[in-house]
Amino acid sequence: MTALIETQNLTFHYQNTEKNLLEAVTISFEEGTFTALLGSNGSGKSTLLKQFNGLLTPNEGAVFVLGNKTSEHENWLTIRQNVGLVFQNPENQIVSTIVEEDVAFALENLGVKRETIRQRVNEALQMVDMYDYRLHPPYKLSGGQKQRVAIASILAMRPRCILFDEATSMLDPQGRAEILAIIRRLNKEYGVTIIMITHLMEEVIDADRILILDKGTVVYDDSPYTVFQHVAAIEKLGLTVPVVTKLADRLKQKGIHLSEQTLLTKEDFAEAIKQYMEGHHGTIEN
Amino acid sequence: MALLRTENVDFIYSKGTPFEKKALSHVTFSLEKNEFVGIVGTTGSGKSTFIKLLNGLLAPKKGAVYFNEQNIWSKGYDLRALRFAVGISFQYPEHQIFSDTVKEDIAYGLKNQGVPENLWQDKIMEVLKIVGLDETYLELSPFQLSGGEIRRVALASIMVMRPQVLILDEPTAGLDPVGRDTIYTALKQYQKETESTILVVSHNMDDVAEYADSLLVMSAGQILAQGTPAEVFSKTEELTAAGLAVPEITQLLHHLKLSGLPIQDSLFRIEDAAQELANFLNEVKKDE
Repeated sequence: MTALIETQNLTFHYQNTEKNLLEAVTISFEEGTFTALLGSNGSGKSTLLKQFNGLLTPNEGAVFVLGNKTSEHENWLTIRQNVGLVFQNPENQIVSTIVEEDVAFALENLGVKRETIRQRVNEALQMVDMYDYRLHPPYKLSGGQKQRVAIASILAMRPRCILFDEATSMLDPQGRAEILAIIRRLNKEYGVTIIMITHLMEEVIDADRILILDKGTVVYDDSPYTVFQHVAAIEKLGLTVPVVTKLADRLKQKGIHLSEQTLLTKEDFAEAIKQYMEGHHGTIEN
Repeated sequence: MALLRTENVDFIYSKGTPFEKKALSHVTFSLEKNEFVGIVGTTGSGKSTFIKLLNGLLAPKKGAVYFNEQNIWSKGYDLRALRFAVGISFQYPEHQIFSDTVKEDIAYGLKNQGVPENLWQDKIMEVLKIVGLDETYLELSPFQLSGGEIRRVALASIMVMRPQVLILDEPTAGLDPVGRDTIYTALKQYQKETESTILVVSHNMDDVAEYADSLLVMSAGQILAQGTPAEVFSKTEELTAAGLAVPEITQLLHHLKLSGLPIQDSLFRIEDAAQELANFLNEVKKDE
């Protein structure tokens, strides 16, 4: 089976510098998976993400999207249709004065038939719960709503994968929750492959795979429960771990070992405390 | 005596048109010298409008703004001097950077202030150090820098003017944890060294809780809560209802308390929470 995205010994540096920002990265992504890509500022994670849809191409090694090599011009259209990218700042991604025109923009550029455009635009706006706003001017929308329009514009292309580069970092908690719910839904209900860069740990615990990049190489690649066992090592990379995981770690340092398993969610933590207390014949009095 | 305060201010956008929108109502707030205050609120809560009132970028429709007890909208008041005294760094630092080199960008404010050119170098080096950059950055183009570095340059550009009050809108959005810590540590150090007053607007409760002396919570153009972080976070339900997230650690403690654990749930530092839980669990062990 061909992987959706595959890199082979991907090495990259910008033209005016010699320092490699990515160093022999070999990874692949299967269709339908949800990956969180982490790393400190300057670790190369945004640079790597841009390789996945050919916005950047390797100096050495290769990247393939559905078997198409990203360094070959004639593959770009196929690649960009299949792999969409959502950036941090929604302001920079909106081009039209009416929401639905914005969503239709790329399809119009491709010369897609009118009826098909109409149908795809409506469908995309419904997927992000913005259909009721289709005739609104984007400047009147909240940050979260603008970001949803940006996602709809990509969905209208029916991509198999969407890359998110800190797509929630400019939003308030409510906007962030909206976007995260949509990302989850795209993955679970529509099977869209997700690769997401974020610094927010509460967004990471939903992923089925965590990739951590440091100085242009992959240093961790596993499930959240496995990766976040390494609290001290991850903190050393300038990253953080989910709050629950960190608290369990601090308690362990105080001699209280809650669980053998890595704890990620509030529910995990509450359950571990309950079991710990039962183990010590304590009960919770309500 | 408050350094900067507002008394019952109202602000309405596009007043008298069909687009009229009330952004602030009855906001009374005061800032003391050398305080570090965090302003939190959802998008549309009026935070950004509010900070623009503080240095006279916007004029209140009702109420008054005082700097050193002088009404900034009284006749003959020197608003230009006020804008040097109360400096604002806006949310998207990449929008306020326009020079060819980092050095020119930082020097721009000094030039405007009329600071003699022979003093620039020392002043620039001083702020560069505070924000954690070294002199190799001076000749780089700001557009070559990473997001985190651009933020630091933007911050240095405001700091170099030595405003008495430094106002920052979302200074750490998009930064990694180390980047956030660097910026906040720099701000704390700057506050201490220069005895300046700092106001930080943020969505991130975790950050402001850790560094601010007090918090101002805004919702729908009004003040929802005000006080020390612990006082504010004891109101988890009200904050959540207003669409704000309390720090994650507070959320977790609150969750545990609701499930029946007799613990204090307004803590927001991980070490404090670990201690609280350890104390409780050790009691349980002892009872065996």
